[in-house]
Amino acid sequence: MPRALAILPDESSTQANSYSTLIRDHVEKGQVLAARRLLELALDQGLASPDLELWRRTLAPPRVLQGKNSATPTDRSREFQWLENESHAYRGQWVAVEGGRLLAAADSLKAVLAKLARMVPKPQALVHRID
Amino acid sequence: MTLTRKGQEFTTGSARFHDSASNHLEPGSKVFVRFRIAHLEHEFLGLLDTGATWSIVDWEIAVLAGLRPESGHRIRYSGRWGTIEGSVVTCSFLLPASEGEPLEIQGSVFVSTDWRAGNFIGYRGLLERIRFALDPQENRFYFGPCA
Repeated sequence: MPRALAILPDESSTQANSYSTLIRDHVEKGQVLAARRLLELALDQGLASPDLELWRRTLAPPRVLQGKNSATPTDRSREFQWLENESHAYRGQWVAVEGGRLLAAADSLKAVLAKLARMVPKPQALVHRID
Repeated sequence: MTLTRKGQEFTTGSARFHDSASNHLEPGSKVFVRFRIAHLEHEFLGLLDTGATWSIVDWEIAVLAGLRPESGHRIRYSGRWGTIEGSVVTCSFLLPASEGEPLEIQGSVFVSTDWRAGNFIGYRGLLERIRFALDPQENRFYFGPCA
């Protein structure tokens, strides 16, 4: 086998790793557009690695999902009012509020959601941690 | 009500925002908007922060939403709160509407096991593909998809 062909996969892997490191540096500096350009450059060169694939997924610009949600419009004015007027008594806790009424409060979000899950009819609460 | 610009639809939905969550990491008047994340059925509040590179989701929410740090690259994220370690991960994100249509986005957010200081709605991964406007007189947040 020609030597160049034997070396190529290693070189490719090294290049992919170098790109991945550079991309991380840019992401950590908040230079996401530059990171995306680097990623595009790497992929255009035919480089592939699990790291680059992960960057491809997480750095992809967001996509609006059209027509996927049929949630009924809800107003939360009364919940906001509750947070403003009543939440001081629940410092350090997660609270679930619906229609200006406290439905559940607990030290953990998991406990609050468990309480909501047991309620009939199923509430559509606004959940917030009061720190 | 939706907004138009040059005769074209600019936003498709709106919701009131909360501006006095003094219990947040950054007390004072801010813009807190409602959101839903992943499969979770209830709504949360996040600070609208165009100065933040990434959105950050409270760790307890991230856990229950199934956002696993190992599904993204581990990075250090620096902001005015300091530097934290975590990962940028993909997730679905919904802005509920009180008028018009909700907006659902497939985006990316930052999660960290160290983060329990509220939710931030940042630019990259979410806001960068959303048209939005604020009406501080009515505390209303207008939003819609980029064309």
